[in-house]
Amino acid sequence: MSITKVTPEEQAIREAKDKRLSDFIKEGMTREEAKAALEAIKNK
Amino acid sequence: MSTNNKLKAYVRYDGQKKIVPGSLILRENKPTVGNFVEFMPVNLCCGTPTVCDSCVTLQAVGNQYDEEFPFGVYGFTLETQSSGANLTGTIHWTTSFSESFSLDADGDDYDFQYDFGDAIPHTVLLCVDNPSQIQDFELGFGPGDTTSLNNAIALNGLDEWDSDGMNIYSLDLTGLSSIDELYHCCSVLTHINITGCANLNDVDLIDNALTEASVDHVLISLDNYGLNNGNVYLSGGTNAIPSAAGDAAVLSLQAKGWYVDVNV
Repeated sequence: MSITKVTPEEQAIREAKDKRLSDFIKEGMTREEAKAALEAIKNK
Repeated sequence: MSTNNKLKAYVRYDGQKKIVPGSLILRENKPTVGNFVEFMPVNLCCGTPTVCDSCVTLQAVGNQYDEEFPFGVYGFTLETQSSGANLTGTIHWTTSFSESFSLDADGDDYDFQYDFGDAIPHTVLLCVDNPSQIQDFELGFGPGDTTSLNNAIALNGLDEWDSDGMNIYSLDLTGLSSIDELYHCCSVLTHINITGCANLNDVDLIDNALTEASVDHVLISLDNYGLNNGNVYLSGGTNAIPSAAGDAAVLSLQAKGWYVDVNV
């Protein structure tokens, strides 16, 4: 079977990492600040 | 017409496992310098007209990007709505292997994955009976790459489109009137068509290579749809600066409470 339900644990990890630049810009960051914030999440 | 059947097509992959734009070459042997993978001819025909009409066609490439990684897994994710009927349909991974599915409407993510065993493009057909039971089509969540996509209208009814990072040069979402969120950041997107996507209120196409015509099209379309207080991000990468017509749409959108982010 190649269709699987994502576990709650994996879902939580994905949601934590599922950020995009525009999310941070929406929060009021500049583009440079947003890039740094995004990079920090990816490197966690 | 002369032909040379000895020639093969190769594309180069970079360190992020992405195809290097413009790297397609034709030669008899695989280049020894650089991470090249043979790019086989693909059959873009999806079979019968009925299948073509009711399915979205994906050009899928598994995640094998060098000879040390002997797998070719491709995948994406569908998030179901949190109530209502099960999400049902069929996925045709190859011409000889298909799976039918019935997914609970529980608001959870469901991963679709298949190991092609290679890194050449395959035509995958996703046929959904009731696309309105899709909350989010998350192409960018799975392994591998989607390099093109056709007949997106077959998924009309879904809420959110997310193809971040996919190496798609041209994305035609014509008629997807149901989507309110569109995310395709950080890749090589050059052309986009959102004609008829009249419910969009959050669009993120940051860090792509959109032409002036595409940037203008997005801004003018969103302005014409008449919604208030949305967000549109078109900055970064080599996305074009809007023309005068695009700038006029920016002002009009801002007057309606939109946050507009474009290259200047």
